[in-house]
Amino acid sequence: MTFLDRTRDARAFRHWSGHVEADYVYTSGLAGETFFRELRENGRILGTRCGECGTQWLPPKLFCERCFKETKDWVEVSGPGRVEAVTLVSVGPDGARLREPEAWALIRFRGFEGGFVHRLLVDAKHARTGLSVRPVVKDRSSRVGAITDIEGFSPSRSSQP
Amino acid sequence: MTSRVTRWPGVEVDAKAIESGVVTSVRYRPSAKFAWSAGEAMSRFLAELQEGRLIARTCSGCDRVLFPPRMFCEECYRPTDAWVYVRDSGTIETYSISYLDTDARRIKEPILVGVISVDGASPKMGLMHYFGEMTPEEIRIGMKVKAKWKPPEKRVGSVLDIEYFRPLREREG
Repeated sequence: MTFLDRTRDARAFRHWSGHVEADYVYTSGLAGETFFRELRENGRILGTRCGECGTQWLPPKLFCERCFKETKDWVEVSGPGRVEAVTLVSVGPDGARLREPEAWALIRFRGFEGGFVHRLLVDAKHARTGLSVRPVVKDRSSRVGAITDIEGFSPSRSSQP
Repeated sequence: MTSRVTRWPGVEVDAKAIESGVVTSVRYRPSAKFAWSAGEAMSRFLAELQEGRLIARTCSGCDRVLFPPRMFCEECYRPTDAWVYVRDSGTIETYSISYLDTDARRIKEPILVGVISVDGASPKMGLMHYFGEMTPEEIRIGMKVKAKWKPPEKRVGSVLDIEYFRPLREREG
């Protein structure tokens, strides 16, 4: 008898079902606090800038990992971002199939280290790398100080066909 | 060293600050469901317990009877070969007179627990279980014992389908 002859369907075995309790609250931290407050109050996206080497960090970092210096300057991210990578998602976080596939993207901004992974507000078949996109921020009344205050990223006018 | 530190760096955030929204935060509860499988050997072992039997696996490499059963022989580094029933009697290898219950609460009447090497399996192979129908004064290493099974309708396929091990009576196999 080899191992390959055996049952490989784990459901055929006796098993115990359970649920892991993992309720948690994740606070934003110092840099995140400034970032999310500005997003909530004014709908603006902020990064930090290193006074030593000039590197700009997004999401903001409290220290420059190149110089090991505290980054004290805050800068607004105003220009359009660029779609660097795209994934079409057909299953939701609960494991259920989505009615329409969603496009999610890694978005970077010129002059900034880092970027966001966020929803692309385009039809899945139009999602592609190289798109120039701008954030779509929710109304002030529905902003809570979370990354979901950004509805997603939609193509900026210049890149629309 | 730490006793001299009166103030730690950082910003202290208490539950109130989070609940009132003074600081931003994300609350999340993942749906982390799981099914823990007993595996091939243990599944059969548990199913047989429900039938009131103890089952083992043989290894033709070392001629051992492995109990509780396992699909791989750790001595020979090869898959085991066949299923074989062993008896529901055995010998007390070691025991404890415990004044703590399973929740580690203190109890007046001690519970007797220990390891039984099972008849029909290779030496020192067996399981841990409760002992009954004997006093803390009577229990001893080397004592012959036999399983006291729960009635069939109460068995669920668990090692607790055996209520406890009791002294083997005279002329009992």
